[in-house]
Amino acid sequence: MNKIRIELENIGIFRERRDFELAKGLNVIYAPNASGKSSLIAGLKAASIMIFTPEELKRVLNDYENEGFVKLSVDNNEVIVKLKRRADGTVEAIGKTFSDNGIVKKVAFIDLENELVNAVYSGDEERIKQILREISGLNYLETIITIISGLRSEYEYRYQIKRRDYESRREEIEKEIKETEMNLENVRKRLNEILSRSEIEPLRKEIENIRQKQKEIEERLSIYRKDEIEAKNAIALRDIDLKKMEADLKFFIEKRNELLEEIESIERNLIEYRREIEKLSLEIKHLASEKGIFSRELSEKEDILKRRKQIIEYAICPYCGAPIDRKLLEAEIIELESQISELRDKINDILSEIEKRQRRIDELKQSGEERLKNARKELDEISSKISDLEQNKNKIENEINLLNRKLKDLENKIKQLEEERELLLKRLEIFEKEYPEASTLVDEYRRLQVQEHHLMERIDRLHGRLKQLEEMHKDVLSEQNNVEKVNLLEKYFRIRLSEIKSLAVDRINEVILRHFKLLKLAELEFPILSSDFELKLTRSGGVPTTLAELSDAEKAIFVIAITYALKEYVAEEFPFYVVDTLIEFIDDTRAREVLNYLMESAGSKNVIIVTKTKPYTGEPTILTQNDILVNEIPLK
Amino acid sequence: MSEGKKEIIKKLNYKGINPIKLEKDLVAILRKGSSTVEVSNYLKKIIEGGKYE
Repeated sequence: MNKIRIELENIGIFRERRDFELAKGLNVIYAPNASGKSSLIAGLKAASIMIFTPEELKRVLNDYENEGFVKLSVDNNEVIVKLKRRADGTVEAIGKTFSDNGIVKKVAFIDLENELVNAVYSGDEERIKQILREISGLNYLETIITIISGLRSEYEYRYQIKRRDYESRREEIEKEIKETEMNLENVRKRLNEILSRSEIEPLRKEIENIRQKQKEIEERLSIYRKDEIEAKNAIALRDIDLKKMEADLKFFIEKRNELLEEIESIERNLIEYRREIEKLSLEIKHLASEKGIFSRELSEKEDILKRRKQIIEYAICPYCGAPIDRKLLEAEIIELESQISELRDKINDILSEIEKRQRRIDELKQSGEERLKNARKELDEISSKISDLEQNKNKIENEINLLNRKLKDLENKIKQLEEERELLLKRLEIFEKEYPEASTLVDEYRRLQVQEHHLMERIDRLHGRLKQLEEMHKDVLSEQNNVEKVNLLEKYFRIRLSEIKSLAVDRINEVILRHFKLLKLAELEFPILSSDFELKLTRSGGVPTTLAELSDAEKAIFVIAITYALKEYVAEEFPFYVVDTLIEFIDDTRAREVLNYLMESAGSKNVIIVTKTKPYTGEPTILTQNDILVNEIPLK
Repeated sequence: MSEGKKEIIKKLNYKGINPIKLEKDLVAILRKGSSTVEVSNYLKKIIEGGKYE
């Protein structure tokens, strides 16, 4: 589809509904002054962009109307923006606009309200610099970099704190393991020394046998202890998950109960709400009909006033031929103006009353059926969350039960091995009594075995603590990863800032140069925009010049060149590019070249709209579809 | 595209962040008039939230 439809009602000078078709490519709206060219553009602008000042909106709505609308259809997209005059005279826009990109206003609607146009015409180079930075996104990138720098400090601080904490704990445990291992080594050394002593000879075999068994027991104990620590860690982690889940569950159950109560209360009040809405709607209907009567009366009185004002300078009435009594007519005009003012006040009062009732209806709907619908939806979502949480909770509880059983089993196995170990020690005690000549050494040997056992147990426990620290280490690694991400992001955005700076400057310079060529102003040297977005206008031969020294036509070309390039750069997806009034400042020969350039570069996506005043023919006319020339340049 | 930037994009992609999309989103958020606190919270979510394609 190649057509774009725009429907306007009570917009600008149009008091009735108007329908226009635009096409992809260049659309020149070629019509006399005051025919509605700018009204059509104002309507298009209101339907396209959200950021409109109340003052601008007031200018869009027809002065004599309180409501109007713009409907814009582009391909399969359709937007409707309604304009409504409030009781205080300001105008509000209701509805979703075609674009929510705030920059569109600055680069796609080039009219006398445009900030950049005003800055160029007033020669305010500092303001131009600011606007260009803002449009090209440099300001935003600088803001993003500042935010990321702040985040980097925050993440680095957090990472360092956690890393130091983790490292100091780890160091402490590792030191303890090392010391314990040294002690263990000394104990074992001493055990071997005892075994090599001659006093032990008669029971060496027995003791070696005990030692072998003890070794086997210790090995098995170590395995069970490791499993025990692992099971305890797993239980602790699942306990944390379970507690979190229980807290969430409690929160959602409370929320569900609150919602159930709210739904019950709304259902109780719903009949009353409906009755009140019905009553208010009826009142609005009466008020609207009253307003209709006053509006008709106002329109009649305005017509009479217009006719009286038209004939006041005449000697004879052009309608009935009777002589004009100027004094009488003046008194009548004053009376009519006072009546019109009264009628307007009455209409405004009625509108304000209607608005009050409408607000109340909206409130009632909000707290009535709409709230009921939303509350039920929320209730469904919460109920589903509760069910998921309960399922997960059961799953985790089962896991904990399994782990507890495994733990119990391990504890039993450890207990059993400990008993076997005790038995071995008892045998050593017997040897002490049976072999008095070796009793001192056997006693030492037994004590050392007990010590060896405790040291081995300690080492296992310390390794268990190291394993627990692994969880903490995961957290440290995640913080480290965040620091790396934020550092990379900062680097990326810094590169982008310098890229965009030079890219934007290059593109702006390129297009400006092209347009200055069109204007046969090539004596301006390249580049004219410095990397700091400062305008450096230099005539060929190196003579510096300023914006103020450019002619109005040159300024118009300059602003079209900049905005056209920027629009392509920052709002390519927005299909419209509009130049309203500005083309009037350029003589026909160069204006034709500019229009040719825009037509050729429009492509199949863009809709370029330019307004151009047709020479006045003496007949007041209103804009029609025939005044929109598609891909046709009216200038010879 | 500079070699350094390519490398940075690759590393960020590996870490689950698409910086080109992020840049577009952040500029759009700022253009709509969001505050720096909102942008900061959005960034935190991206940095800490894992995948962002």
